[in-house]
Amino acid sequence: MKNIEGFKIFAVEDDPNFSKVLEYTLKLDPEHEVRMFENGKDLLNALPEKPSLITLDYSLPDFSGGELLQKINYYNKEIPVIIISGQEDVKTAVALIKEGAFDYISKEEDLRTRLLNSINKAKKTNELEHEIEHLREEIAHKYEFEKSIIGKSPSMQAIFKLLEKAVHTNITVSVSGETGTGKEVVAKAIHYNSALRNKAFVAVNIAAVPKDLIESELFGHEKGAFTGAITQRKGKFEEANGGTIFLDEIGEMDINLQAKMLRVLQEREIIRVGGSKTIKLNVRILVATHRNLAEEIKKGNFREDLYYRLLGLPITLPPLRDRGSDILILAKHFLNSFAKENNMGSINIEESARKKLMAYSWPGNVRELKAVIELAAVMSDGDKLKAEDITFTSIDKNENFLLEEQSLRDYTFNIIRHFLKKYDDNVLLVAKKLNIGKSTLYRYLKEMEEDQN
Amino acid sequence: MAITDLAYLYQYSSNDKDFVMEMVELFLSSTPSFLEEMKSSFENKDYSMVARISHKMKPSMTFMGIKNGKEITIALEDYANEGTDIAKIEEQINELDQLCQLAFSELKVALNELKS
Repeated sequence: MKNIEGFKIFAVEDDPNFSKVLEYTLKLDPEHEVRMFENGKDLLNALPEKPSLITLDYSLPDFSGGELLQKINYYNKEIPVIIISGQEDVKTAVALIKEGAFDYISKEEDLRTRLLNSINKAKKTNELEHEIEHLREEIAHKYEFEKSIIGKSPSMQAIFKLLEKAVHTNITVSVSGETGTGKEVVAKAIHYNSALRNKAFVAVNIAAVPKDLIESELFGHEKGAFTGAITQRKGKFEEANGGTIFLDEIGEMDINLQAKMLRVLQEREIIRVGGSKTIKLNVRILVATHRNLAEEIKKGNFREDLYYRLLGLPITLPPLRDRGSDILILAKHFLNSFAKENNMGSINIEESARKKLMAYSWPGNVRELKAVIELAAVMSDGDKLKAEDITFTSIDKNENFLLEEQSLRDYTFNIIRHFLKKYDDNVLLVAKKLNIGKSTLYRYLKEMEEDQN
Repeated sequence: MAITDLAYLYQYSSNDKDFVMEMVELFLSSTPSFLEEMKSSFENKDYSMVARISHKMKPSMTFMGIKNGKEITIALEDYANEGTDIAKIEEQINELDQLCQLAFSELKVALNELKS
């Protein structure tokens, strides 16, 4: 980030001749605010003035370059330090860069080009780091519990309590719940409210990756590990190292891979496909599934030992139909954000529409609610959302049918009408299909006729 | 024949005369004390200090374009770091000293010309 003060460079050099050249070179960029120091001690005292970059002469009277680098790193390891040395010494250069130096430049090189390039590189890195930091903050903000998880129902209050526990430790969390209940939202909210919020969050949907690629996707591979592995590639676990990995649809994991997963979780290390080097892992694991894993264990589709490894803190998200008036709170929320995104005025949900929303069973849960509300907002005229604006797109037609809340007698009649229409009024066939006696069906038909009259 | 050459500095600064003058003045004012410090360190048998100072003077040799200056400072740094061949160290110090004295008189003239 470019601050208003410009780019502040502190340079330490005890030879006044070289110091002059260095100062001259650094000032070639008018953006640079350059301050020269003759020794390490003065520089260390000036660190609170927050330099954007430091250049160090490798051999100073009071400190060696390595010592001073360590002290600067100890103070703030974000400051890029460029070491400028009297001689080219590859070994020292490599050692210093390993210790955290940003670059190593020899006084013999074309100082002007080399130094300014290096500083530009540092600036770019710095800008990117700040941008990432900024974006992370933005995401964290977006995933504050109150903003990302909405609901006042008792079942959701219980979830909030569990989430509070989940963010204060690094325990593995297993999120279960029907499709569309917001398992990924919960996983992200846990990460972005935890101590790891500034580290990576890597999500992998196990069901979405082809079976023969999943292992390399998760653990990475070495060059030439298999046909098509033309370069070395880091896996998702490595990408997430230091942060959080979210394994969605863990129940879909192939049973053979489950054995490998178990080893990874036990040893806390991975080996890339085709590799031999072990890579230490320090990663928080969040998993989610819409399946009942206990059932899957009985069926032999999921390993019991892995199940217990992954269970950790189990969070079961309630289906939307069990969340009572959360449906309306969420509907209002989705409606407001949709209206805002599309520059529409505020839209109110009419009483009839509220009733319709509350009566529906929401098999697709929150995801479905969002889609239904967005469509209704488009269909609505002006500032009112009416019952007829709402169309349920559920694949399960029976659910819609049940919404009508008719009497059992009426339902029965409707079923019979449906079958008669379907089978061209073939009474015998319909009776057979409905598994009732012919006379029973005739009795119903008579009643239906009487009703109509 | 001249033993100094300011072409490097002119090229480095894209012909910034003020910068070249400043560099020459700086060399003239700082180098004598470096040489004194080097000699007294040698008297005190502090050869690593001799090496350090020689190392420090190396870039100036390039800046002032002093012929053989860089080679002498490198050799002196090596001998002084080893600290065994005392005669060689002394010989190199004297050689560097003489070279610098010649450079001083040459650069003083050059500086006057630059100023006029």
